[in-house]
Amino acid sequence: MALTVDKLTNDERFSGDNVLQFLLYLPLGLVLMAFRIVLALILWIAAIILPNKSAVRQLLSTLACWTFGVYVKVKGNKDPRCSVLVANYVSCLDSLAAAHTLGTISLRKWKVPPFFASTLGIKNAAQFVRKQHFTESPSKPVLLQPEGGPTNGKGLLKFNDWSFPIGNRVQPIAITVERPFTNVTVHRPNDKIDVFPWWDALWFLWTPCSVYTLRALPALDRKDDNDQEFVDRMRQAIADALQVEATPWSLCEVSRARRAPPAARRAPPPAARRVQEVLPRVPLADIVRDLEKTRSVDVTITNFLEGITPYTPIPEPAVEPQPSTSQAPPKYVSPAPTGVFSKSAKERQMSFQEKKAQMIAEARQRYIEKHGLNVASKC
Amino acid sequence: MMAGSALRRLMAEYKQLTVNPPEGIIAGPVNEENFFEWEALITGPEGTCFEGGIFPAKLVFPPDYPLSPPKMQFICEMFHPNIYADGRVCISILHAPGDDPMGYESSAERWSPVQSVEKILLSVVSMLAEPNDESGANVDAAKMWREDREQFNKIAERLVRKTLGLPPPE
Repeated sequence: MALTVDKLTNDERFSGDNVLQFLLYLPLGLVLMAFRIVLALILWIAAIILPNKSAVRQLLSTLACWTFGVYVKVKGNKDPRCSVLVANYVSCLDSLAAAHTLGTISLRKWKVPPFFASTLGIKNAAQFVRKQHFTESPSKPVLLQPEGGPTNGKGLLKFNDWSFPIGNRVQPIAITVERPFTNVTVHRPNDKIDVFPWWDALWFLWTPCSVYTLRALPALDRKDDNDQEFVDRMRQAIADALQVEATPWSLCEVSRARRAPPAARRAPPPAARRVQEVLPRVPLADIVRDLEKTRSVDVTITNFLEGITPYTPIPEPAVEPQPSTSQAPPKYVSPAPTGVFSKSAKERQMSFQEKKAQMIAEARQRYIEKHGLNVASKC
Repeated sequence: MMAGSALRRLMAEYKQLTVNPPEGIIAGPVNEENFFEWEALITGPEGTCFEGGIFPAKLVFPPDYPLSPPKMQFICEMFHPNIYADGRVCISILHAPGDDPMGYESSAERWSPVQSVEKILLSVVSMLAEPNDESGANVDAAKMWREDREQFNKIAERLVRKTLGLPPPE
């Protein structure tokens, strides 16, 4: 089935038959969560009081992994010459997983306390200046996740613009995550991109563990590519490694598609489309409503044409700006018939021929009267 | 399938034009055996040199109507800047956006499925009233319209009389 923009996020945490598993696990999960909340508090305090040294930070990130049940598998080797790693976006704790194993730092717009941020391996994007970063901690590579936000991993989003020029050598990383036993979606979309998704985090506390797989792909050299070509190459490398499609959508489009009402997302039924081809100015909603009653394309068309079913016409596309456009369109249109449209094709044909003859005859008469011609003898 | 929806749309338009005919215009299929060929009679607009004439024209619809526009051709003798010598009408509403033989039309006034036979015919009426002398469908007519209006009006009068079966003025 073709991937569409609304299939890139999961609206429900549960998919399919795992609700039963969820209920069975619920008591255990609550105990685990209570324990982990205590652990999180310890982590919180520890992050505030302990000095910001690398050994301490390693300890804290291990503790954070325990707290959130994050288990990380790394495949492939990190290229020590790469200072920029580019990865797909899976969840709010990608940065923790990468920081714990690869020692990276990620950029986020989340407003979280700085000590907490450093435990999660993130830095506030607004305060981040690349040069400053490298003078402070030259050994720490930066992890970029240019998708901008998480999806359910069925496709790779378009990359955002870069907040600073990228170097000539970049290592792509493909991240996948799974939750054994519970199989709960790691991320549920919310509208705020710049806020730490606390609900997602809470679910991390509750699930026994979330297994991240970080696949370090061969580093890419820029060669002669411009920025766009280089980015496309990275994106393709990650998509290939994940075996998903590199989609043409950006994060904005995904969240917009999700916000749209379900009716707008669904294509109109074929019968309604056929009516609309004939009557382009009748709103789709009215067509669908009338079709429900008539269940016939032809009857519905007749209803609209003869004014049996009223409708508000869709305003015409602006042709030329004219002063008279201030006139409001009539609310409901019920055309007052001035002619007769016979049911039989033969009668219609006859009446059409008659009308033509009559029209010419009348016009001729008018012309003769107006110009005072004397042509009576010719007729 | 495609022709089916074209047929349904044409039927609907025919009905609409019959039940609510615009003033001075009638149109319909020449023969209902073939719904894709119509005949229209257009009255020359009042206060113009074409006043009073009844001009017959032929409309031929493509099978993918209303996605593509119909073709329109006058079947009487015409002399007008926007009508070719063979009677074919050159106005923007009959051109799909994209094909723009003259390169001056804005796409807003082009053919699209929301247009209709009625709108085409009304556009033709206003074209008769106000020729666009920049479009050179008939260069001689355009030149005469610009430079010798009196002569143009004379020709128009002769044509009007011809459509009504009246002898040309002395």
